[in-house]
Amino acid sequence: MPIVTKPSKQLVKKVPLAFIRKIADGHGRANVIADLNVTPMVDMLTMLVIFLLLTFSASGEILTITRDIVLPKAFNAVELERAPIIAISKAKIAFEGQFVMDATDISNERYVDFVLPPLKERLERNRDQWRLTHQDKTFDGNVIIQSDNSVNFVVIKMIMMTCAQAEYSQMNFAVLRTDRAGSSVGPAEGGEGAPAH
Amino acid sequence: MAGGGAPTPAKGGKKSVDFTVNLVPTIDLLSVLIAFLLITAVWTQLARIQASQVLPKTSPTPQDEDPDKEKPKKLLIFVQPEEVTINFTNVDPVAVPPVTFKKADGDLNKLVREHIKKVSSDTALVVDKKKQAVVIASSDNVEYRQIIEMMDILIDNGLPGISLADANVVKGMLPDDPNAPPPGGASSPAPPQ
Repeated sequence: MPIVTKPSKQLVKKVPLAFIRKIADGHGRANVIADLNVTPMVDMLTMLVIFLLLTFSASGEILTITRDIVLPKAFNAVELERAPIIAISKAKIAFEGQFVMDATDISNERYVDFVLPPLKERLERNRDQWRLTHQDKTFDGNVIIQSDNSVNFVVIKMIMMTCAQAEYSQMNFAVLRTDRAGSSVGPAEGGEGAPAH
Repeated sequence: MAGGGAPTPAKGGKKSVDFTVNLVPTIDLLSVLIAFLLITAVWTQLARIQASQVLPKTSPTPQDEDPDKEKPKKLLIFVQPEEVTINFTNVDPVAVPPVTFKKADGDLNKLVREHIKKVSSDTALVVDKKKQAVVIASSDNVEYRQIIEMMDILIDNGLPGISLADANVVKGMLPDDPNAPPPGGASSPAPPQ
């Protein structure tokens, strides 16, 4: 018997049920074997691929969204680039995913010079490691600050000062990009406009 | 049809001109591509807003020493939980007085947005957009969200050079402040600490 046979009624010939064979044979009635029209399916799959390719982000996922950090929304924001991440929630401060210190007791009275020593130490260690592995490049000092909406400015201020002390002078605030109407800039007067830069 | 890949035999033993393309490999390829793209897709639109910090001055700059040289104008925004004050440094405070918007007056963002739009189009108040010409000073109990909203409004009005500072920067520069300098003598912002 040939391995490849022409698709036809023979597919159900070996079914040991007489009424099935009868139906399959047709006996003048419509054949139960029908070809499936796959052209619309290919169209749909092509559209899906085009849509996914258009929305594809080559940079991948830089930030990890955690439950205790709700990012603020902004319209005029640029694409994220890979840099060390300082995550700030109401309760704690983390650097590159590792716990650094509690954020609940940060105040001007406790840290009079506005510098958080545990964070400064981690930043300096990270900076020194970078310099050791990139000896032919100059240190750009980029850092991403991923903070919760409701964190007070006193914490942000101290983190910024600590970053500046550790030579991380390019501070990038992570935000959730949204449309004009959903941000503080409000809807455009003459329709939706592109970001300023 | 779809599953075919060979010419359909015609009546009379002649070769048919109809040819069906085998679409099964195409469907396989597209399915694999969709699976890959769905797995690697990033659905949350994360982005960043850049800012610098007003650092303490260690020594006076040559510009500070030269009293005749015109000092650059700076837009100063002081954010508090219930109000926002907008002021200019190195301009005549009588001609351009500081403006305070309160939450009780309406949507704070809208009020600030309209004022910033007005002042950013005023040629007499043009600040150097390339330099860090905008300072957002904030009191300690202001939420991070409010700062980002202010930054978003400023960038939307073509002022991307934003520096952040603490409330000490605006000491003596607010309208109700007893330490306010005399008219015409607005000084550059004091550094924090």
